[in-house]
Amino acid sequence: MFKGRERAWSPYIAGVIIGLLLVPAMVGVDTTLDPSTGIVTLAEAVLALAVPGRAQSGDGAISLENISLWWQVALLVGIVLGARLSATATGSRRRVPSPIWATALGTASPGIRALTGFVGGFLLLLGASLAGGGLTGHGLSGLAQLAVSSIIVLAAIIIGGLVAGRLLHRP
Amino acid sequence: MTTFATLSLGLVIGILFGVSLERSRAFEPGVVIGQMQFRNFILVKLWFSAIATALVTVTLLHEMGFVTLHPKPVHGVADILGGVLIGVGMTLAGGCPVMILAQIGAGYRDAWCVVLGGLAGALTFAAFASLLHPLLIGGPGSLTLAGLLATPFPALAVAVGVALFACIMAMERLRPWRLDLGPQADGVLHDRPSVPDPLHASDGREPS
Repeated sequence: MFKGRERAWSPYIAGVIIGLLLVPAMVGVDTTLDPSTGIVTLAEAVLALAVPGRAQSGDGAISLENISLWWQVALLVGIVLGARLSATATGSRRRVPSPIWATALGTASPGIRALTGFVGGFLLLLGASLAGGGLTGHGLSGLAQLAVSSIIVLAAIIIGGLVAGRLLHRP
Repeated sequence: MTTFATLSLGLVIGILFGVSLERSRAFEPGVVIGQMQFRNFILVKLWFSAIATALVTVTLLHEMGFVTLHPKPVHGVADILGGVLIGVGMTLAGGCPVMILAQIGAGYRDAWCVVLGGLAGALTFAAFASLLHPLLIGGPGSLTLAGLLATPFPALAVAVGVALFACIMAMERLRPWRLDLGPQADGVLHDRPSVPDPLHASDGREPS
């Protein structure tokens, strides 16, 4: 039996912890949990290095001097560290891609998985840029404020996810 | 707060977020795909619990004057199109950005492809921002459900929180969360696809 299984947390307890994490973000930094924005910030930073003067042009560029954007980047780094610590401490480190991919994609080819992963990531961040946030930014932070935009976005995420889920293979 | 304190707070919150996703197994691609195919319910259980908790605490703190609300403006088409792209992308990628980063932390190397794709997606949006800009202007601005329904915010927040809690109780009765872990705690519940194993291939059975 896989060691990490016995030490899994109830999703309800984990949900309460994640919900409470919004509090220090809102009280301490006057921002919300919005990890997609962290990735957009990284992409903008790459673009700012590649295209000098872009930040000043105001052409859709976000201000890289805004600390709350880098706060989201720090959040991203923390998530990687946290998952790594927890997986290592409980003997749950993963070495090979999840077996779900061989089922869902109908092939165990690492190339196909890399390609769908890339396309998935592309659509994810294109969508999050358009909607102004992703599952956490809208689906958690936005919902906690009963924002109408977030309710629309979350409903659309569920529809998109269920349609894509039907397109993938089932066991 | 100083820059250092702000970034440290982000890092600490991220670590707690990462540990919670990893321990609850909600970051597993098997859990995410299983949710989208209605076979695994860990993700929706975690998410409803997180929304209910956040909703009640944020309302309480807002009533006490500790926090300001920042509901994002309503854009209609951009919200719907963006949301559908996120949903499709999340399913193909095996998670939203937080889960993908937790996958990297846990050791799934394929998650790096998702990060590269994500950076490319964000760059593409930035490159075509002026074309997409018309979708992002206009609209009714920032709206909350409480404003839309002309209901006091705290009353509505408590009502939604209680409804989510009732959903959680019902889901747990119908399907206890431990059943969704799977033998390897990766949310994969069905028989694993047989990978041809050269050492044990002599039993004469063809893997189905």
